[in-house]
Amino acid sequence: MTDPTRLVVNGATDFERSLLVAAARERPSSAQFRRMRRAIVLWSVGVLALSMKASAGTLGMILLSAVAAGVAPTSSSLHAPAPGTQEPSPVTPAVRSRSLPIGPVATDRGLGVVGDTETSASTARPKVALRHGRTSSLPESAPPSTAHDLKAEIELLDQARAAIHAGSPGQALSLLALYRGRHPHGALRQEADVVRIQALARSGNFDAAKSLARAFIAKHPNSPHVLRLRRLLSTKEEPH
Amino acid sequence: MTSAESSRQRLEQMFKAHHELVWRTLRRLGLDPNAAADLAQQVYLIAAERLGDIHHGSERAFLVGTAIRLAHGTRRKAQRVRLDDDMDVHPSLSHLAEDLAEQRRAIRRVDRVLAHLKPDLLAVFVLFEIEGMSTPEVASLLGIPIGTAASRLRRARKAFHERAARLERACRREEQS
Repeated sequence: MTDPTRLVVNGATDFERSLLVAAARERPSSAQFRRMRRAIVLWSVGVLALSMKASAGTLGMILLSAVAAGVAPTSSSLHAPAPGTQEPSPVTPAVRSRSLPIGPVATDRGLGVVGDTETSASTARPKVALRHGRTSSLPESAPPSTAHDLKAEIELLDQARAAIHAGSPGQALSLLALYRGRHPHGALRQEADVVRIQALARSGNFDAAKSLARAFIAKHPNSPHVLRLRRLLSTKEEPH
Repeated sequence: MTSAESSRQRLEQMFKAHHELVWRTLRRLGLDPNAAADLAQQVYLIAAERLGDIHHGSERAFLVGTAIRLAHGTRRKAQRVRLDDDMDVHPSLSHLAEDLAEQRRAIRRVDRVLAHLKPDLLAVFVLFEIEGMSTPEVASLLGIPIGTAASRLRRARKAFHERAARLERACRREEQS
């Protein structure tokens, strides 16, 4: 069974499309990013505390106290389905009460040392990511985007559009070449084609732009981009 | 490398790769931005606890599946969208106040439309139409047959079209008045 074409590509009105694209673009704020990431900090604290239990040194005792105080989660407090086949498991109140309200209180005070150590130990780049809360700030080790990774597609196309607006159509074309390499079957191929046509026109390569515009209209006569491309075709050729 | 370090690295990797997807899925399932962050935190705590059970290559499925189950367990209506919360939007747009306002408006609208979809239809719609997953992937993630996923998608689209059209008309009327 083949997948139907995604609405954002075909089948959505302009209004619907604007909603879908906005939804795909939404990102957590930096504060929300930090909130999510505390899960890892807390888990690390729990593991560290357990590993130090045997020696029961000063730091270990401090950490164990923190765990006992309910700042960090314990194994028994978490109930989750096994991956794949398990039944739905509602969140228990215990889980909720421990993990939800971690604001600046617990980690910044009682576990400040541990939290800071954790953050700095995970290199300087995540700090940038923490501040801005964006994927683009994450280390390069992040996995490459997939063909259907709409988010990555949007980012590349936005960068290409920004390059055009900044007067760098050459850079835009490079980004679009990157897009085609990374997303040969991307959901936003039509948009990429239109941006490419714009970039070509801006770079002075009007013949190529018009030729591509005609091909696009022939291929996608019902596309919402057709009107704009017809306008381009009716434009007088710009001097080279 | 110790087992704890190795687990920690894996968890970090899972976070870097999927935290936005997890958060956004929770958002589209009806949680406000902060509630989505809190629930995403729980998702990762659960993942940390169950790390040994998560097969390599199925991290995304585990995280999104857990997020969906947790979201269904929360009281959707009570948590629903407080859109005055701070929201970062796409980096390339965030410096433009006008675009930011437009983005917020669109998010508010999409939340209004999706709020009317039934939970089982909503999950399929969000994963397929917004997160770009394939039908088999969505079916596997939700533990339903592919045919059911396809059928839910059709119904979800119909409901989405209807609600979006209604909202669009309302927006036009508002603009005209």
